Amino acid sequence: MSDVTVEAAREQNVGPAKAPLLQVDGLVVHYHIRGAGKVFRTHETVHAVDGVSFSLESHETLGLVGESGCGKSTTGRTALYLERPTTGTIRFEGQDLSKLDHHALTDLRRHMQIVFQDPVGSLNPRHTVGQLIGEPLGLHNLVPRSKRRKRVEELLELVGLDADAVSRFPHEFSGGQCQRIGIARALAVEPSLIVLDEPVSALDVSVQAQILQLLTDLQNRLGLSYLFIAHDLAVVGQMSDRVAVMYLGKIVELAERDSLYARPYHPYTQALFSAVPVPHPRLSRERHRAVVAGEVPSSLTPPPGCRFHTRCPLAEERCRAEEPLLRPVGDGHDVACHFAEEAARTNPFGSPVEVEV
Amino acid sequence: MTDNWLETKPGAPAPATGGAPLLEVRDLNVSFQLERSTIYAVQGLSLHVRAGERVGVVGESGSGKSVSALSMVRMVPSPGKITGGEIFFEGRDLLRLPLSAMRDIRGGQIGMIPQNPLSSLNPVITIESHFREVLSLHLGLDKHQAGERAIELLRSVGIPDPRTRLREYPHRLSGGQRQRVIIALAMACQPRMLIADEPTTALDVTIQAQILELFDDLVERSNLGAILITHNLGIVAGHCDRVVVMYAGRVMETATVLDLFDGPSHPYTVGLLRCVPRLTATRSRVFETIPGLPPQVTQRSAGCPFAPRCARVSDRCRTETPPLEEIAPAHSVACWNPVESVAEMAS
Repeated sequence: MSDVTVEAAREQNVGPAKAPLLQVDGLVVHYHIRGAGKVFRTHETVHAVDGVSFSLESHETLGLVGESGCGKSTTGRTALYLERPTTGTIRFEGQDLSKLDHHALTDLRRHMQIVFQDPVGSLNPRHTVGQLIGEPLGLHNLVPRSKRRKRVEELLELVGLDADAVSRFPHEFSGGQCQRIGIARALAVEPSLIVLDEPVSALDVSVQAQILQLLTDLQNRLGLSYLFIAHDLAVVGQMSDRVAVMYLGKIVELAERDSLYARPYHPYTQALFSAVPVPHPRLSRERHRAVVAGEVPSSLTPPPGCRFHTRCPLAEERCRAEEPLLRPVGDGHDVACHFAEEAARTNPFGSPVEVEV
Repeated sequence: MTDNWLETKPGAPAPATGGAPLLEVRDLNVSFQLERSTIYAVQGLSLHVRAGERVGVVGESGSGKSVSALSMVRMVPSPGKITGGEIFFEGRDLLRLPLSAMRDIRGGQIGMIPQNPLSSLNPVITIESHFREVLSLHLGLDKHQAGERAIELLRSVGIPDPRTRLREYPHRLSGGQRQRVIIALAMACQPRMLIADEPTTALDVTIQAQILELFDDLVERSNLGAILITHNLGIVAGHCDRVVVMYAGRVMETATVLDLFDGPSHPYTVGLLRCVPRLTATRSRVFETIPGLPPQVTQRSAGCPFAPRCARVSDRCRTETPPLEEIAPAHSVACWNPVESVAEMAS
């Protein structure tokens, strides 16, 4: 791989200020939609993301985990300003993205990229791999046209594909290989931050592991920061330094990876852990677990108070009335639950973590 | 009527006796004839399911697991054809039944749970109409009886307020509820057997846990034979009694769940088990992978289909297809160099 990439990556990561690479404060994303009114139009609001704050240091991976509709993908997209937040600020290397005009934002995007969930669908089927990976190089005017092919070949090598892929089309590749192309495309502009939106959930397990290994190697070589979005706690746990658990548009728990997996505080985090099917028959038969009842309420009308109270075995009057704020509860956990300490002690959903046998 | 036809048919096996499997598949072959090539989707699949038993079929995409499930009720989509083998259900060879008798069995004695709860219900008819169709076709119930039975069924799969739900259209229900409706439909005619093809893949993990709990409950309550097709080894570990591991259309290994997880014998099984990301207390930075990609099954090549990716490959693997051989009671493996112990594979 080229030395240019390494140097560029280093330069970007040794920022002058000690501000975090990415700082998200009070992010709210609401979508206004036409409601179901039969005669008169009604207006309803989808509360996709409702007050999310986190920061991401350079060379760090923050996992965002939650079920469908919890707002994790919206958070990821908004973090790159691919969508405008309703309110809230996003700072990249200290710069407030809302203060930037279109050109400045485009320039800044060189440093922040995204890899999408659907490896095949996210690539234009009419473009060759060379065009796909070369496109960002042209857009940002990084590599003169004459040298572009060579650079694309370098990138292909970086993600473990043969150089002769340049002139082939996406349909000639498997899902895992397409995801490698997607990663090469994101890496083309030498970003410091990559949002990985469910990068392996469409892939088979044996291929999943290959892509996760590649992402980890790339992070070590290029000093990348990842915002790793996924629904699979096991995958998030392998990739992340810190993990934020989301439920209905809010972060309910945010902690260091090992600490979260050893001892989750929020009842929802516990429920999520206990629902994961464990690939170990004795353990899955012996482990005491309770399946959380009910379903995620509609994000059109999120429940008042704690959004998990409709399914929480510990819920009391206070949970219905008063919204719990994210607060430090010890062990470096930030938890949004009135009864976090009690929940951690009793763990109403059973022991979460697999013991290596 | 149809039963008489069957019993007089020459070559039909003796009716099932006690302890005989409910469903037995012998040497099933399914292929898809395309313009330029043939895809050998299933090659020599044999398995059996007893009443009250949950058999998991695991494999990655393209391993032939879904096609196997569909061929058991003769629903392989065109241009796929069952080119060989026998499928005995309660002693009758399903492959020799006339279509009309087969229709009675599908959705009657064998219930199917398809993968995608979103597209498996008809969006333009109500939930009640779905039930009415099944119940009048198979059991001859009238409108009123069907309605009452549907309410019972919906209640048994845990749908709150079933009377209201019946009048609604599928889009009004969440994914989890739709999958419950589909399960209720599969159970509508009190089947002897359930075939579930990735029943929870489209669902969130907490809803998945609920649906699998329901699945276990139904199998136990009605003493069903069940086939659970999945790619998720965690689901197999928790919700199956026996497992069939498929790769490139072939059975690589079959064993009880405990034997398979304690002592996997086929290098592919060992590799697959290692790849599964685990919930560990501390972060593991090692990713176990199986190098290479799953094969295209467009040619019936000699040798083991896993040979190109296998660490234990020998010359024989490339030239001779290993047969499925029993290495311990109820534990068979198709490999020339099976793994004796997992520690051996690690070295």
